Amino acid sequence: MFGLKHNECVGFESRWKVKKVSLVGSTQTTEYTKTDMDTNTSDKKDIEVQTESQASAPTCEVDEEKLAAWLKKIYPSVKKELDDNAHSRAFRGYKLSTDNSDANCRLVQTLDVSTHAKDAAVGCHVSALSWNSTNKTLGVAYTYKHNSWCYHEGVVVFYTLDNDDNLPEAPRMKLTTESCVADLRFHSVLPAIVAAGLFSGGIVVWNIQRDDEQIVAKVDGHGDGITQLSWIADINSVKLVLLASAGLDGLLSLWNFSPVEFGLSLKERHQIRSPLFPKPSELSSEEAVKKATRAITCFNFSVHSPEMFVVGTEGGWVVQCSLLGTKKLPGKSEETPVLDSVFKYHQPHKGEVNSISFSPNRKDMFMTSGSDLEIRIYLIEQEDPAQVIFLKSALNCVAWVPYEERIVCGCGKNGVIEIFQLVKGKAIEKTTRDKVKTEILTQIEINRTKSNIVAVGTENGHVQMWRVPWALFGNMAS
Amino acid sequence: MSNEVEETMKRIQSHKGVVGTIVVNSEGIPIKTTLDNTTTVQYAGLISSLADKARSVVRDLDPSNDLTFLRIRSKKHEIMVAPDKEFILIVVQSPTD
Repeated sequence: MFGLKHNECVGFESRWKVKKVSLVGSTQTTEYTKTDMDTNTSDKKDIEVQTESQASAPTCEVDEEKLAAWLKKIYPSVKKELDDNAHSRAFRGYKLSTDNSDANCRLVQTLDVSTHAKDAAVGCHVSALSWNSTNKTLGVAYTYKHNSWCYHEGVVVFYTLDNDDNLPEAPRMKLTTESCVADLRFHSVLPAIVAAGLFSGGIVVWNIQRDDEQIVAKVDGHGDGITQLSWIADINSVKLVLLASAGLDGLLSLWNFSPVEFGLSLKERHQIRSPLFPKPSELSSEEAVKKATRAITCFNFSVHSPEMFVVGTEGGWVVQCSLLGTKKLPGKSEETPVLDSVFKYHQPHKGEVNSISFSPNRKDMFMTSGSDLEIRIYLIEQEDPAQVIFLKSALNCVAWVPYEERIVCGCGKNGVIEIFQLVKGKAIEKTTRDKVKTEILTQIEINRTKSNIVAVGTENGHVQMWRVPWALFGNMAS
Repeated sequence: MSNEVEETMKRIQSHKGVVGTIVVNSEGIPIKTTLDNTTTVQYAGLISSLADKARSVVRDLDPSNDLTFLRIRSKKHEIMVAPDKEFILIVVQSPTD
């Protein structure tokens, strides 16, 4: 019945279980970047805009014919007024007295003219400045330092103002002479004629409009160096202009200059003699009082009375002379007679007379400046000066200010333009707020058309251009 | 005709220093101008009344006399006024110095 049976185990695959085949893999997320940013909701405001209707100029009917005829009729008179106004000098330098803009001299330009000199290393200083008759061209002459005689070549350069009233860097023309130039003066009427006086005593006249052969006249003017030149009106004729030259030989020569033929011919010579002793006694007669010929350092002819001139000589003498009533000096046997034109001696300076000039505003007044640190104002009738301004430091050049009666100006060791009040006899302090490199100033020339333009020459061979409101300084002086 | 007017205005404008030219009628209303609107209206109004006043001064002093030209010089400009019965010419000029 029961028996043992061993059955084999049978297996079978599950039909409901699924074998899953799996593979292990891994992934890596790529590096990610994160940025934080804030946002803000903004407040909004509503606003309305309306274009305004333009206030147009109210138009009206106009009779074009009538208007044209009227304009045509009045145009000539309007044109005349406009042109007169453009050329008028009536308001030149005029400033309201309530105008409180400050009085300040401004240095606008510095030119180095010494670069044109051959021996610039020797050191040259500006010896003369001159504006021409149109006041657009400036002539600059400079000399070297001389110990005895002059062996140098003299150089003169000319600059023309541009539209902004500044000087260009390069000169318009450069001329040379056989010796250093002591004085340079443009002709008072002809804008291209200029005369130069040399240390050797020669005088050269140039026409700077010519491209070649500028020399129009050349003479051996004086036996010794020339100290000053000036173009003056001829008392015998209305139109003619003469050249006056003064030299260390004590002679003042007048030269005829012909604009047509272009030559200089000697007209007359005046010898300026001054007493040996400072105070000649009134009792001595003219012959008894010994007179000596002294070198003329400066002279000036009066514009109002062309026959009258004043001379400053060596030794500080201030001599008033006249071309009328001259006496022929005896003992001179030259073709041209030597004349004695001395009229009066004024009280002399205690030093050399550096400059002498008549006032452009008053016909009886002239000013001298001396190495004794004094500026003296003389009146024609008086021997003693009417006003003396005592200086703290020497001035190389003084000048009257055009249209300003109350002030005079000068330049010297202080390196700035110095302005003096005539009535009070004192200097105006601090004429400039500009920081100026202090150079010794040797020459000053005010432009006669635009008097606020001032050219100044220095001892280092520089030319400085300044702008000076003279009227404001004049107001300070009153 | 308007060409003649324009031509004369141009000629005046071409003079040295002239800043502007205005033609105004007797009521002070600008007819022709070389300046901008606002400036023209200002000048027209102010100058007409001044020219009228100046004219009445001259005539009050001497009834047989009449104003021919009025010039006003200021720091910056000179205003020239040529008055007439129907029109007024105003020229503004800048001084050269």
